[in-house]
Amino acid sequence: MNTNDFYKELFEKYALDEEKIRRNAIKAAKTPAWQRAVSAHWKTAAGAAAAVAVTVGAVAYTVGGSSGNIVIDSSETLLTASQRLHEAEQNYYNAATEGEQGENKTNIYVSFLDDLCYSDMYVSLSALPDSDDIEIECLYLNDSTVIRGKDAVDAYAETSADVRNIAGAKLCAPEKCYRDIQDLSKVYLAELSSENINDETFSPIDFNDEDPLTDANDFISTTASAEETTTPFSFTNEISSSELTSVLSDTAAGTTSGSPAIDITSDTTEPPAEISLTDDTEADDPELIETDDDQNEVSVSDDDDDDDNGVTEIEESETAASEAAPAVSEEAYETTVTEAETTVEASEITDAPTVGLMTQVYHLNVANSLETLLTGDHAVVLTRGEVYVYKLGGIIETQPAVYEISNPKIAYSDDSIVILTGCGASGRRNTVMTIDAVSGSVTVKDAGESLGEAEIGTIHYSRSDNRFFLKAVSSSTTLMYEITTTGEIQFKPLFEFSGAVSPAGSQNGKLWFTAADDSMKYTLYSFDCNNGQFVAEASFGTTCKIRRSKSFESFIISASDAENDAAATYVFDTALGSLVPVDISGDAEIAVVNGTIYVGVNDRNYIVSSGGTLTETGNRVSYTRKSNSRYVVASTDSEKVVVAEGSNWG
Amino acid sequence: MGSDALDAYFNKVYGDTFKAVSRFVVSKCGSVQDSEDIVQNIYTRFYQRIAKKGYEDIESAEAFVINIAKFECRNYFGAVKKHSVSTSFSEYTEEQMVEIEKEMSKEQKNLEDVLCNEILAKQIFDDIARDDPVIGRIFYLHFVCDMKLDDVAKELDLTLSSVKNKLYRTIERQKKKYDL
Repeated sequence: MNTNDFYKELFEKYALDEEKIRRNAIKAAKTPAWQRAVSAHWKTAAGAAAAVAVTVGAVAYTVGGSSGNIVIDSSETLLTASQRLHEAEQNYYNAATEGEQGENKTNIYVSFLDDLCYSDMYVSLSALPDSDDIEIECLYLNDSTVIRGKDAVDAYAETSADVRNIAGAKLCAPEKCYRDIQDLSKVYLAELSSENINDETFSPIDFNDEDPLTDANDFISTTASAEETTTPFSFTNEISSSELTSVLSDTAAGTTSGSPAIDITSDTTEPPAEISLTDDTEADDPELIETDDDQNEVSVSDDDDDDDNGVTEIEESETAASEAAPAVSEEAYETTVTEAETTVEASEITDAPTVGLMTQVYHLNVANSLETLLTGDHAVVLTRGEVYVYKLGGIIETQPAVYEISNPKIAYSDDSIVILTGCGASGRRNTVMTIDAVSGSVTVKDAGESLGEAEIGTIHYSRSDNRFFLKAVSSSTTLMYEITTTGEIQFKPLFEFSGAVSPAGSQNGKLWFTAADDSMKYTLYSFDCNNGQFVAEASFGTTCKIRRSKSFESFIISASDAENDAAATYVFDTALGSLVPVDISGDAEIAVVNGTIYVGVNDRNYIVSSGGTLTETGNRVSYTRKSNSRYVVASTDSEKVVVAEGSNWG
Repeated sequence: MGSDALDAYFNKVYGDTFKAVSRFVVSKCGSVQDSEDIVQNIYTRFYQRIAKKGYEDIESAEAFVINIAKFECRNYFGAVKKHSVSTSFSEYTEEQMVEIEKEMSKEQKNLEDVLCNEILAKQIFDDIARDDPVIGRIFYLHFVCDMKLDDVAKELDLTLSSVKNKLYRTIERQKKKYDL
């Protein structure tokens, strides 16, 4: 067999299954329209298989309530969530290899994506090719009630068909239906009856639970004691058909939870406030907490600025605009590449201390990842030749969108957008890729034609002007562009400057930058983006360092005097629109929050008032936020990236 | 009209038209995976039509089904959100393409083993179909519908070079990734 034959056979086998389509088309045609509607939601077998394969939900089920009639036996803990998923995955594949031979009936336990009403569940199951052979034996309601037995189920269907509270079901169906059931769009996980999954142990996976106990997959375990954690799968509140009447009236009225008739039986079991990463964690070691913080730090040095003829553009930082003070909110700001320190080896994770509650963990199967950035609801994973964009959130992450881009580097990121640069066929860095952090949509622009021999250096976003500036450098000139990132990426040339240029900030349509003359003395220029005029705003000596704010609104210049070489420090006063001297020396950083300029220098923090007056506000704070996202990268190795969600992480 | 006669007619038309319809749908719609649903909808509509009104008035079943397909595809485009597309930034030279084409014609024993390994085969298919939807369509039209690459390019409104690059790049990538 050659490659052509291989792909022919592969696609004939998996692309459009002629027999399955025929069967389903007839089935659907014979099904009433209201039932048929669900068929559009069918997932392909591939989708479901892949989804199960890549997903690890935090799924342990905690029984709430306080009536205490039934004590949960914590020794019943059987399978972790990840084991359940793994087992289901194996069953799924086994079912594939066994084909449609399985006429024997078996019990299939189903966890639904969202709570369903009976009629929705029924419609969904009716769409299956062998729906006539499927019986609903138990319903698992979202308040831990179990409705067991066909009669009880039928009674429930009659009285509460529209109540959206069914979290799971036990079905009796031919084995061959297993894959089809798993493929239903409303089904999160279908599990075959087994020693571990049975009437005694099953409870539907509740991935929407805000405070589930994270399971013990790979490296995470709960810190709570066994007595406290209870079993993830004990479903304790069972209702027979004889008890059902009173329950149904409450359920239908939407008052099931808390109703005495329902009799939710567990004792109060609080989820642990924290989880630790392993049992041998040294939970009190603050340094290890720091390590975790650092892994998420997006900012790093800007190595593209090496071109700038001695002008050192040091890190820039700024607090998030939405925050009241820099001490509270910190935001990553760097405009160039995130280096390898954004990741941490699995072994480090294993040694990490107690961290905040995690609610969901994703395993992203990207081999040889170089870097992972989390922003909005997306994880962006870079390899040498590709960018993987994963949608996080919801129940399961989608398959990644994969984009080929050579040697990608993150040039800018915030919670709205990620801008990457990459190398084109010429090997020059002249490609721009934007990723909408919310929708995940990706736009790519090969700017080789615009840039010619030049390569992309840095990208800056001016918050006040809502403009992106792109600096490109060639051997002798600097090209400055404004780029638009909505819709198609467009390059609008602003100016070409002979020699190196260091962008400093932008406000009111003016781009501020420094450049050195032939005698290596620096000048601060403003460039009016509207009329194209340059103005030399200030002259300095042969030393000039810029530290800009993330918002690209303000900046600090530490420079020698043009006449006597004395060192001085200036801040760009956003109110005056000009530089003002400030009485600080040392390695400073700057941030702008709601129009207020903050400067951190040495170990102190200051507010810079208009005119340059400094008001000390206390100890120095770091203006660098550790992450753009509610998600954190838990570990990265050569095979996969583990992303966790956690509001209290670190 | 008897149900058996109806089913027999439907099955005959289905067998006669499936290739043409699936080719039409794959070339017009977003991805191979979406196509499966669309094709099913088309034949569901067709079945309902002949069940309700009979089929005596249908002169050319293929033309009739393709008309339904056009309607379904319009519906699809009305509902589907525009997806991002993958872009390749470096292109193969003519020489490289010829080399890859030669390679593709060479016998390779391990490929049969891969097809027998259902999990692996499915993984490879998913990898292709889920990457860039256009690539999945190129594979389907070229390998399953036996269309020449320049016809595929016309059908998908792409340049031949772009089609070849996408196809060969994907094949090369799969080769490396799965050691094919």
